[in-house]
Amino acid sequence: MKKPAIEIVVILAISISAGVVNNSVSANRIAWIGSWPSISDAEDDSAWDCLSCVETDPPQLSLGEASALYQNPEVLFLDARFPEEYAEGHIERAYLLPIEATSTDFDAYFNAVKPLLDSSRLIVTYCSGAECESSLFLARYLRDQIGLPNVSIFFGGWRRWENAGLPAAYPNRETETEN
Amino acid sequence: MRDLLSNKYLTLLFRVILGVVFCYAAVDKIVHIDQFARAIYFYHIAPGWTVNVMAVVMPMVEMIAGICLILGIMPRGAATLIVAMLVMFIVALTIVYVRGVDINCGCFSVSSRGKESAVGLIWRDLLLLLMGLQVLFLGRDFLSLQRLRK
Repeated sequence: MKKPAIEIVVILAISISAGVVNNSVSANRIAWIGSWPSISDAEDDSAWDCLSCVETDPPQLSLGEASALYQNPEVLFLDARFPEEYAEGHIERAYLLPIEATSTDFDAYFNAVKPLLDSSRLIVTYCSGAECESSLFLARYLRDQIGLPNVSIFFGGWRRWENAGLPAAYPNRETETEN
Repeated sequence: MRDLLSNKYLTLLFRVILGVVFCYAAVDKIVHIDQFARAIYFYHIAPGWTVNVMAVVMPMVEMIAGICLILGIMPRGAATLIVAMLVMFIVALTIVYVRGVDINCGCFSVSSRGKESAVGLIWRDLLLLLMGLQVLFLGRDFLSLQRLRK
């Protein structure tokens, strides 16, 4: 066996051992063999289910349910992504509440939407799509920390909404047009 | 031209750049294994059963190979692995770009803030790949622990 091949085997052996140790002691450990659902581009909402949710989490909405709720202007849509992502495009009438922003920034956005947060009002949180968890974190925060009981999560998120051609706003494009 | 490309200081510079980039990229993934597994899964390329294995092992390969490159321990093997990973990243990002899927690349950070355009990432990886190829095929073991021991 040539020298580089031996080096590769040694580095891989050390890496695998270190990875096994890390995953054994990590607070974020995962199963050795994951049971990930198969995802296709099919119009199947089950493919967009939250992978990290637990039973006690706020309910999830399919695209159909979210778009039906959107017809009611009383339902509040909250975008949990970062401001720059929101500025690129968001669900029309949705307000920005970036749960992963710094606490100072988040407080400023929270104060802006606070007058709209009412325990009788249905709130729908969303982020980019099934790969992000900001919508889940925001929904948990609103329910558990703020005490709002009617919070749901639309995991299809902005990407699913936009692909379906549903009402959207594009602040950046509008600014460019004005200039 | 070949003399310039095989300059020992250039190799050392590329080794350090690649090593630092790969070590830095590995840290967040090693800490947040679960989120990195999600990032791999949403590429929709790897078979489901391989996702967790990749999430556990790949960041460690990045870290160990990066350290080896910086210190000059088993530099050829480390460079080979880094070149192989860069080729894999470029292929994966190209597939994602062609499909038009907007994903969190999971390159340096596993958070959604780590989103960058696939084209920009492909260019960056191509640049790193060129550095890796220089280290692999033209490089010398200048200031490497392996050579100092001899």
